[in-house]
Amino acid sequence: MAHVLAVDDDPDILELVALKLRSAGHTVTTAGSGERARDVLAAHPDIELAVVDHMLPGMTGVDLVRALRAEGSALRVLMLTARSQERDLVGGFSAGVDDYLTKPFSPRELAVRVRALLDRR
Amino acid sequence: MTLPWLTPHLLVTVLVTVWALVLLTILATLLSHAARVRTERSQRALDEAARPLVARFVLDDPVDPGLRATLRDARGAFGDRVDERLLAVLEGITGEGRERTVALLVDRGHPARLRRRARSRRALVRAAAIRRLGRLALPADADLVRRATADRAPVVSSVAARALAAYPGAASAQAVLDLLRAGASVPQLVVVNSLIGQGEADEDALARIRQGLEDPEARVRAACAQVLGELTSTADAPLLGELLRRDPTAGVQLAAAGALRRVGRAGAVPALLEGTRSAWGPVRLQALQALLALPREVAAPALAEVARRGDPLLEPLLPRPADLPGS
Repeated sequence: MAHVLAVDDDPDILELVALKLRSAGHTVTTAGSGERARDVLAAHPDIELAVVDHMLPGMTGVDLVRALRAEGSALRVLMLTARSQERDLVGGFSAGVDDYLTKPFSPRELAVRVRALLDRR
Repeated sequence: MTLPWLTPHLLVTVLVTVWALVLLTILATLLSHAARVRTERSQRALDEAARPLVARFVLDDPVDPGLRATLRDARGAFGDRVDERLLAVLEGITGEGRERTVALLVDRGHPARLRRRARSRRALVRAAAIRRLGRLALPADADLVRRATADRAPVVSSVAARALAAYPGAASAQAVLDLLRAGASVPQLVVVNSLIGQGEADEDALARIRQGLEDPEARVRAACAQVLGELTSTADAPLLGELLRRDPTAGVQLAAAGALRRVGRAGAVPALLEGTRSAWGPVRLQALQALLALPREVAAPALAEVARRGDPLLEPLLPRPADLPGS
């Protein structure tokens, strides 16, 4: 089981993601913005994976991933994205996103994808 | 000039009255602000209490009957926040948890309240009710939401067009196209996204969108072309090629060429080549971009022909002759 960061500005979705991952046995820390996520990651170097919403206000999910990769971070990233933003994912993958899940999503699928990404270690 | 009626007493009275009115206004503003802050704080606290319960309800398998009863029976201000939180999670999840959430909202009588609000005299109340009914996506509300596309208030018709993505079908696609045809002030993005959602989910809606390519109204043809491009089915390439070739309107040609950029295939090359000869620069550019998006061995002869023409608008985008296969 791993330490996972969940980043979403929608507190309802954040609560769901955190609860689902906790019930799957992970330790979950949450952040409501990209900027806050960077602070959390700096304070918790043991975080292995981040579930990041694409459309964050200010620093977007892709901006966050790009900044992390520029710093040499190997954090695994699963991006949550609205169907209408799927086209932007090409940019997301080139920025260093490892996998994505389209909103609305099945919480079960979220847990499975997180597991699969963590198993890549 | 003297004003005998302007006595010191009158001046003092006027000044005192003005100051009293100013102070009263400030006081009323402060009180209303304080009340608003208090309401928001109270709502936040209730949301904080409701959110974990709702998340557990959505995710638990099996559901704790006690938790379900707590949420089902919540009333008053807390009940309102429970409704809001349940509706909010509907935006984000699919599957069994979603169905369970909808069933709980029905048990709480929420759809009935929304239907009442959808008849409100206030446009914003109607719009909010229609948006929420769209989130619930109960089949019984499809007609109500479709009718709301003809609402006199643009905010309501716009929200209804968006909500119809949850009720895909020929009638819903038609309602959105009718709205577009009527020239209603609904953002194009809302219309297109609604049609994309419907076309993805329902074959009859998709068929109606394809028929829209022959609509007498240019903005309907253009929107349908854009939607078919977004749906990325190469089966639509011949229809879009015909539209690019024959439509007299620049905006429609542009939409068709843009769509072919996404769904183009070898069969579309002649239409795209014709597009690069259009009198309208943006159409020529878009047609060239669509040719460039095709596999180079398919598009090479057409690209060579465009290069021979020496169109100064297109030349900067063309690959060097040495980079074309067979050169």
